[in-house]
Amino acid sequence: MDQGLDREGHRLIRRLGAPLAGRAAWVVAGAVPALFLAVFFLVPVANLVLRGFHDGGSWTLAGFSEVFSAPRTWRILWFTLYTATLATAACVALGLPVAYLLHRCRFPGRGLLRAIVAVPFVLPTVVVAVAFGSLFNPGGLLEFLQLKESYLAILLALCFFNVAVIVRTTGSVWSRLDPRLGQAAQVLGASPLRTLWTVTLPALGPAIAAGASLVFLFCSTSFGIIMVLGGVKYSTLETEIWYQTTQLLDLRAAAALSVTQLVIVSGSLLASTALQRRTQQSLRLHVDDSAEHPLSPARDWFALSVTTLVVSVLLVLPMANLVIRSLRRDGQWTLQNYANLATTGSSGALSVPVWQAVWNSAWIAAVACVIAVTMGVLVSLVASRRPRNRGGRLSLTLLEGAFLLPLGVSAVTVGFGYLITLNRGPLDLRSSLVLIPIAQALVALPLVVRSLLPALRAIDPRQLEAARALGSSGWQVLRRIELPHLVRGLGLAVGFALATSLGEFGATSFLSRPDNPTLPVVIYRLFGRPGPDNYGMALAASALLACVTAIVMGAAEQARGKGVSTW
Amino acid sequence: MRNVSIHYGDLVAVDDVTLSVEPGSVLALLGPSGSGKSSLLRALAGLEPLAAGQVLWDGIDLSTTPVHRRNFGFVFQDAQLFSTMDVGRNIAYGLGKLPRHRRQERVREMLHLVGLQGFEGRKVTELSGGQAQRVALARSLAPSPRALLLDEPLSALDRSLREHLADELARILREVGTTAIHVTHDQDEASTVADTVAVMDHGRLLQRAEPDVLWRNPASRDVARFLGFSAFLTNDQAAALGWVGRLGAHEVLGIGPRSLELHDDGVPLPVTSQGFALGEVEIGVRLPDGQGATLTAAERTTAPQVRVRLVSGAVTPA
Amino acid sequence: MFTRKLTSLLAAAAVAAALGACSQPASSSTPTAGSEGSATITSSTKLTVVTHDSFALPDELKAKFAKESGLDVTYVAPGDGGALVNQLILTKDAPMGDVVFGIDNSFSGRAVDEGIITDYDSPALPATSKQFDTPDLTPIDFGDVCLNADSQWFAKEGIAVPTTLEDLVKPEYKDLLVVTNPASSSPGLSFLLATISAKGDDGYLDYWGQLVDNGVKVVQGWSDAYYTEFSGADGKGPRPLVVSYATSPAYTVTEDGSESTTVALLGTCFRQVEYAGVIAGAQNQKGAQEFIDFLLSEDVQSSIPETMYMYPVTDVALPAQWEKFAPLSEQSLTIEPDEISAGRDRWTKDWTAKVIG
Repeated sequence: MDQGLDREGHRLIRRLGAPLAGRAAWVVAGAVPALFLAVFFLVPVANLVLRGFHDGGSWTLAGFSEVFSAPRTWRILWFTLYTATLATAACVALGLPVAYLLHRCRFPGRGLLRAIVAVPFVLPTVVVAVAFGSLFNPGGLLEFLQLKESYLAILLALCFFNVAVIVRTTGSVWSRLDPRLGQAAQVLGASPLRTLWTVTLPALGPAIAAGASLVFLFCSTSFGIIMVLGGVKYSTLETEIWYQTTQLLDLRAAAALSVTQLVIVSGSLLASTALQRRTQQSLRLHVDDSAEHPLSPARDWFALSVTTLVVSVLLVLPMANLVIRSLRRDGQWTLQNYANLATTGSSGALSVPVWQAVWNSAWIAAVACVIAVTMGVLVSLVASRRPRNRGGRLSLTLLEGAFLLPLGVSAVTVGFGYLITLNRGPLDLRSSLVLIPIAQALVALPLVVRSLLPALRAIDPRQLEAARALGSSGWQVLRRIELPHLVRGLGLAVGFALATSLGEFGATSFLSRPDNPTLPVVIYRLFGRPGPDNYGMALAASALLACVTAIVMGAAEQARGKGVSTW
Repeated sequence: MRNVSIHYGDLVAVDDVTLSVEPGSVLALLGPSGSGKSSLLRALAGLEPLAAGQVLWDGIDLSTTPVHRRNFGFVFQDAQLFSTMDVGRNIAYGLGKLPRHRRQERVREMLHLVGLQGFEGRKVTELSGGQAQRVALARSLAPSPRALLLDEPLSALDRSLREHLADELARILREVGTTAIHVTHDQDEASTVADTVAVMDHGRLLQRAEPDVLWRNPASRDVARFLGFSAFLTNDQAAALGWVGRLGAHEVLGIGPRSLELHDDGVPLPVTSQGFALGEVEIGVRLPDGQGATLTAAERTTAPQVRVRLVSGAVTPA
Repeated sequence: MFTRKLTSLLAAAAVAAALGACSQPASSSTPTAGSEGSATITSSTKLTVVTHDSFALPDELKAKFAKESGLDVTYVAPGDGGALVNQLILTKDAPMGDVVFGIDNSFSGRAVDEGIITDYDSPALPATSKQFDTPDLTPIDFGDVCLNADSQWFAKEGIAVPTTLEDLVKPEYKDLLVVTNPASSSPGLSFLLATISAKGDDGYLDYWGQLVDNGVKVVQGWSDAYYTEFSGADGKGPRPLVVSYATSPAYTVTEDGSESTTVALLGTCFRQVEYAGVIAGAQNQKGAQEFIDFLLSEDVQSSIPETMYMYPVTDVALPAQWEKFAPLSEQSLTIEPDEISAGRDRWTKDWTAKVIG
């Protein structure tokens, strides 16, 4: 019996088209996360969106004609796409030199710089908005730039979040790109600039495009940034969906907008996934980091200056400013704001002390992390099968894509979907705390999958064949080769899961209970309450959350195995 | 090249090497892997920084000239073709300044030279290893470099293709009449392609000579050993095996695979091993003083001993 | 002593509920119609309280209620006022809780129209508070949304503090006012309603046009307006006039406690009333009614000023600072809830088109 199973597993390593027992095992492995996704994401979202296409009696597409005949919709759509495109272009322009410096040059302090660049991506929007706000607002360090509620402030904040995506996707490929390719061009008389333009960048093309489409996705669905920094002037699809759903309960309009957003998001996700795969296949990449060279200021001056500018002005300044302001009261240096975190704020702003919220955030993040990583491991193992037939490959691509979808559906759609879907019997979890880590796990899952999959895909198929030739069964190959590879990506996955969960605000704000708030919810509430104590506590709590997130991400970067950072 | 040294951290890859190439001639840099020959070649092209020394061309110091202004051609071990361009655009890459039609003409000319007529529109991913290397050669030659530097261009290919391409390469280099430095670890390839061979090991230049001189008179036992001479005999020992030549006082005779022949009147030597190489039998024998040597024969032998005569060898300083 | 009071309250509540149910047989089409018809109310050992996201009842009081009622109470806060009502409407078929607190008068009309509330007249509501009463819902607290002025700023500049809405469009007050977006902020909506109440449905847009010409600034949320734009608060922003609450000046009192550096403009106030109600189709209507009665108890009512910045509807002692610095407006502006319910979406849309474009 055991042997029979082993033999089945054996064949499965290469394809799904294996006979029953092993196939069933993989189907189960895929079904668990698929069921999770269906129950806690697809069905609730579909349920809400479909209501918008049903007028009580019959199906109707009236929502579309209604929404798209309004000039406001077109203005919003145009603004969303335009802003996302511009922010993406800026991220690519700023991210490439940073990617080069951090992944192609060797110098002391590089690890620290990499961590600094990686942190903003997982910072909570609330914190970032506060940090940028306190920089541009009256009395802020950069008030003289007159950027408050300006378009530029939005772009800067979007870049703050997303430049790391470009650095990571292209950097990890760049670090393994054979340096002799560029040398071949140079020997043929191409200047360094021409070499970069005609040889290096085209070779990195798929990686850059994969990263750019992800950035586009994040920018076009950004909510908090637009809400807080955009003031009342700017609306995107995401804020409009929020407005139509929560404030007007116009589900028809919201559904039409959601579907439009989903089309945009799916487009960029498909592009990103396909391009990422092409990068992994097409380039003959070095496995080691022999392509690195010591930093030479004479040659690398451009990348060096761009990186210095990006890191110091775009990334560090807002956060440093936040920390400094949290340490000041009435023009004096003080730890009072931090000491106040043990209280519930002035005039009962909170129902629990902030430390209680820290504890809530911690355990919720831990649970969310376990869920996200468990599901992520299953999804990655299934999605990394290498089926021989076209149908098998297609279904795996779809599977992978489905788990990235939560990136592109607004939290409000998920939250309201829960209300009308998870409302009966054992699934009536609406007032249960369990829903918070589940929703956060869904948000973290795409990043977890993107951290784990490359590690599995990077396994040379010959290695698996060699193991089988040496008599290992399919299960043994899984245990001895694939799982150890998976573990190398695990550090990063856990880091992303924890950091995402710690900072998640959108979905959590719908689900959290007043007596069990998480840290971002508390920060948001403190900012909404009068009194200098509350404002100071909000700053201190933001700084605290940023630090915790930074430490988690820094640790994850350290634990990361080589060559598993492509996402 | 004058007094060139190259360091990688604490490792000295090339140590104080001085070398010159005659215009229009082909020099082979021969040495085992890790001998510093590739580093030296890369330094010539400007791809490795010099720890000391100068690179001179016609008396002009190129040491501070950036790579792209040196006007050397360079062929890498694995072609390094630009996968984002087709064959034609790869070859035209170094022809930036020429007008379009001149460029196309030059590409055609180069493809003809390397025997790949009509390949302009091919994707580089569709090429075989040998074809890719020919395209790489055409690409390097297209801008008419002052010299062509070849970094083990054939070592990634299989043996028969390698031998064929070595002949091709020799023909092309002669046809173009370019100055070339060819780095290789293959002794036969070096002799086929080059007018002069320089042997390197451990970052030092051991000997520089024409191929036949090199094989007859290696400059040291190290050189001789690298060329395949595995045993060394004194004058008396050589004479005892039937050698008719004479060695000087401080010389020994290197024994290579072609030094010994089966001969009915030869000295009987015990057979230690037998094997096949290129369709011939390689018989290992133990020389009277205990050193091992090999000789080739048409057929396997069943006897425990074979009769052998020493016909040639490399006269090597003791 | 309190226990006895509560017990009698509960008894009264049960009777009142039964009467209420009888007097209003199956007038709504909610799933509870059947149970109302049979004059019984549902009960359970669990109670789910749905509140807006700034609900802040002190722990001691929560514990007290749980102990005295013997109920296992869960509090959920799924959003702000508007979102809260919309979520209740969305979940009408399978209610997400038993009792709701935090529906204000700008959304109460809608809540009642949509039939998400079962009528309950709490016996704990004193007759003196009937002025706040509205069908189905029970008033718990109220307050005024008023413009606040940085009195120090005006003293320093030697300009008189404005007092009326008309003053705001005068040239001397150019570029001084910051308000919040009615589409996303509850005080913003209240101030919009104040202008509609004062200028009428046909005049308010013209008034806003004048405000825009006079340099009014609109920001997204109250905290942004108060803390970063307003000169009288911590952020030391540039504008000395802001939309806030009548009670806000009680929090800008100088250290010696003698005066407040800000003042509410009592001629610009809109009256906000917050209600609680039994959710239609609740699993535990009895517990829901007990909770509403509890909200009207002296303990809860006296905690309201400190925790929610609102005035309690019953006659309990107010904080000393409030008596001095946070007086209620004598002439606050109002609009009937059903009128708000009918006009709100149109007003916000038209306002957005006029002011933001």
